[in-house]
Amino acid sequence: MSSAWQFYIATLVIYSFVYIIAASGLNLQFGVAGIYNFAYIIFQAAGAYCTAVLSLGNPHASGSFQSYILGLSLPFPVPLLISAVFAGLLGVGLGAVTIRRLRADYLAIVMLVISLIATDVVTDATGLFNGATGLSLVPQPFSSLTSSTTAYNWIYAVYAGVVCVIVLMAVRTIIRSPLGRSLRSVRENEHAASALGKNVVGLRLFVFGVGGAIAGVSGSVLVSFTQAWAPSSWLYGETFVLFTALIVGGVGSNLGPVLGALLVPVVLAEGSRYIPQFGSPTLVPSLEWIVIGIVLIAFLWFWPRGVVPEPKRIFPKSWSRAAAPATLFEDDHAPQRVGSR
Amino acid sequence: MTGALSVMHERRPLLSVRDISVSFGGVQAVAGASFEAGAGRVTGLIGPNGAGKSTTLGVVAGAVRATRGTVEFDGVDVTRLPSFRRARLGMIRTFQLHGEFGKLTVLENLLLAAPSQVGETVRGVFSPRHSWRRQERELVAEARELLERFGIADHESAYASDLSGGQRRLMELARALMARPRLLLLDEPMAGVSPMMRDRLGEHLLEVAATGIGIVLVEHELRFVEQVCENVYVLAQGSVIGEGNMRALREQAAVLDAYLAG
Amino acid sequence: MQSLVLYIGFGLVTASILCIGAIGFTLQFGISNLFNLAFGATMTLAAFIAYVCNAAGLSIWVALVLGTVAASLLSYLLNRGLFVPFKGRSSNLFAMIMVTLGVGLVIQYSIEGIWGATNFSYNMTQGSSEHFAGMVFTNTQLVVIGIAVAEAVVVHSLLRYTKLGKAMRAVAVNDRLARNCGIPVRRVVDATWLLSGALSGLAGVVLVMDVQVLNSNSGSDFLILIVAAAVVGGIGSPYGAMLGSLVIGIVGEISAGFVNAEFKDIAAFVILVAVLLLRPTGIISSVASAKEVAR
Repeated sequence: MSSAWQFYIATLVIYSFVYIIAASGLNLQFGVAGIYNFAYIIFQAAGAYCTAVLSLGNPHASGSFQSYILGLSLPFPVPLLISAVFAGLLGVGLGAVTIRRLRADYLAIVMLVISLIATDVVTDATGLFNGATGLSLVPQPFSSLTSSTTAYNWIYAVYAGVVCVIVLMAVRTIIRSPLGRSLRSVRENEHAASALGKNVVGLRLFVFGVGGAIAGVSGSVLVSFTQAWAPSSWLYGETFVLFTALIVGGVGSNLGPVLGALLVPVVLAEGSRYIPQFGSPTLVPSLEWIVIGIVLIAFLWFWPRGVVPEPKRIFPKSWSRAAAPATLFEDDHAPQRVGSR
Repeated sequence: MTGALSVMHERRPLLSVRDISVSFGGVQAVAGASFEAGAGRVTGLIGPNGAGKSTTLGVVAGAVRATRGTVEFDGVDVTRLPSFRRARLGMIRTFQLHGEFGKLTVLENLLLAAPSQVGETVRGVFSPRHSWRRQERELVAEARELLERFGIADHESAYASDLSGGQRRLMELARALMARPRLLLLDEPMAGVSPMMRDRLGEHLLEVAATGIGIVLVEHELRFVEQVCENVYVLAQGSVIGEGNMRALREQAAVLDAYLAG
Repeated sequence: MQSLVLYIGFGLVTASILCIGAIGFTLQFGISNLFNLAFGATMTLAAFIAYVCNAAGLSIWVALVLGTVAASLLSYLLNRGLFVPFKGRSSNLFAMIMVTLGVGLVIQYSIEGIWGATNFSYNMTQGSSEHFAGMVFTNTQLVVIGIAVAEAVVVHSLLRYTKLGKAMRAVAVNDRLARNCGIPVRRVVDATWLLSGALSGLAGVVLVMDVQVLNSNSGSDFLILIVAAAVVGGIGSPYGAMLGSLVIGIVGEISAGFVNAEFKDIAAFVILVAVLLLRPTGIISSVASAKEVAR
């Protein structure tokens, strides 16, 4: 395989891992806990910016043309870990918004607006993260291992893959546990959940925190590879793409976000590269968005739960007591059966 | 009154609700309602539609904020406590409508209710010893027993939203018991349940009470109330207008007036 | 002080454009219980249709009417063809927002696909500048304010004095009750979407007439300010939309004047978030409370 091809494939693999991580975090918030976090992308941005300003050198060093805060030249993996924590805390902070009980779509609009505010603030306050131009030349971790860019890409792909697997395992553990069940109960009926002793606010803040941290991790992994990050990298449309990925792949399941991340951002976005250019130069990129919009609407109509929906939990038959217990309705006046499934 | 009886009457009631008032917008839903419920007994709350029964129950459970009044549970003032903390103290309520977790199976609905689950804490989830699985096995066995007792064991893997109304009622009752309650607040638990089942369930509630659990029952079905409740409070227009057992109440004129439906 | 009055003048122009759009947006919420985030895209479409007509030689005012009609029809079709069927399926409010977002994307990027990502402008003059009490307006801006005022009066008269208007108010507060009273709900809904769609078109064209730049993002960039105006004023209430437009328009321009241009948006957003968290039902809260947007 030619070096250029390898370079491209490795890059695609890295982007796939990043999208899978991001989709998993949103799956925890939206799929499992039922939170419509339309501001999700700002947590990825928080992770990316945090990693960038921690890995970059002093902004006032001679020859520097970017202005930003910090610049501590911290070595890998410190920026990754701090970014996860930072994004997680930011998530908990934003989660406090949900304490105000708003209708689902109203809340989505609050989140959307917060996302827009964040974009505007970062663009205006140029001293923070270099405004609209954004940050570049972010140092790549373990770049000393090889001088070949192709080889480096593969090394980075392994790194991204390891992080992805860790995140997927952690999310899977949560989803399958009683904690995951509590989260789903909050999604289904928060009043009943509260009436059974579940701390709804606490659970939501937890999910905001963990989901935010996961988004931050995806941002960190992405920025250390692309070495650049600007407001244009995290417009609110990206959150929309992730939601579409979940709706297509499957909401609430373990495999759903993986499938969705591969199908939507990767296939749709990358696939459009291979369509020969026709019409005006903007026609094909526009087609991407048009297709995403149509796919979303089609899925919401035909397959709203996605390709791999949340599985039904069945428990092993052996988990029962030995003796057959007495029933209140001995003489077969059992409650009417609903059509069996 | 002598000896044992007087001791019983002096013992503090499990639930003491004093002078509750609730208003929404301009409407006074509850106006100074007070009642008590004891451990080991079934107390009824009856009254015509709109009398404020469900709202009062909501105040006791912590789902509705009262503008005035106090709720005391086993000597603890819980008036300011959020509903989930009251539930953890053992005060468990059921809902008249929409109490189920639709996209969870019937078995999962019950498992949720069990208190103090190791697997619900972050540490418990990630602990390598898988200790939550052991507890889960026991809870599943216990839940299956409850489902069997209520006759809906065949539906354990059905989504709760797929059950009929009566089956949902039974599930909620089973779920409430799964929560190891000390006080049960039941909001019209017999709606949609057949008369034959009602009788069985009534007996079962008496058995449950006999284990020391207190039960407060809001109900329309007066025969059921008579079968099961030792003491009944009558609510009309937001306040308590009568108290006693059903037979005595039937004779009080005021109660008859307020309660046109027999 | 002089600059303050000047900025208030700019604010009145922005408020006028907002008012046209916000009333349309809020009517759609009131009648269909739906945040139509494709509203910006219909605005953009109207603006482009007007551009095509204008470039073909028609006067901008004729083009304005044509664009308005196009948006009106499109909005009506979107509701009948897409929103109503989806609503009938399930009451998932979030899915509805996603549907409107999806539709908005399809429309916006179809426009971009056809006309490209460049900027356009109308073939028209802004007219001379007039000075009123320390404020400066071009002729066009005065016409825009005039259109907004006229439109507000028309909507007010419609809602207050006509049978259709009263029916619209009834359906917005309680559609089941309205149906039981014999109101032809389906026709009222259709009429509302035709009207509100027309307002979106009008707002889109008038916006471009004022800022003098047109591109495929024009409508969606402005939409969030329209949402802010409608929500702050009290979602579902046209009078609320008028009030909200004044607040957002004037405060926005004052912020832009005294700080910098970007602050126009930030100020509006911050007001919006503050209102959503502190008093979500807005200034005139009747419809919003009826729809239980906050509990």
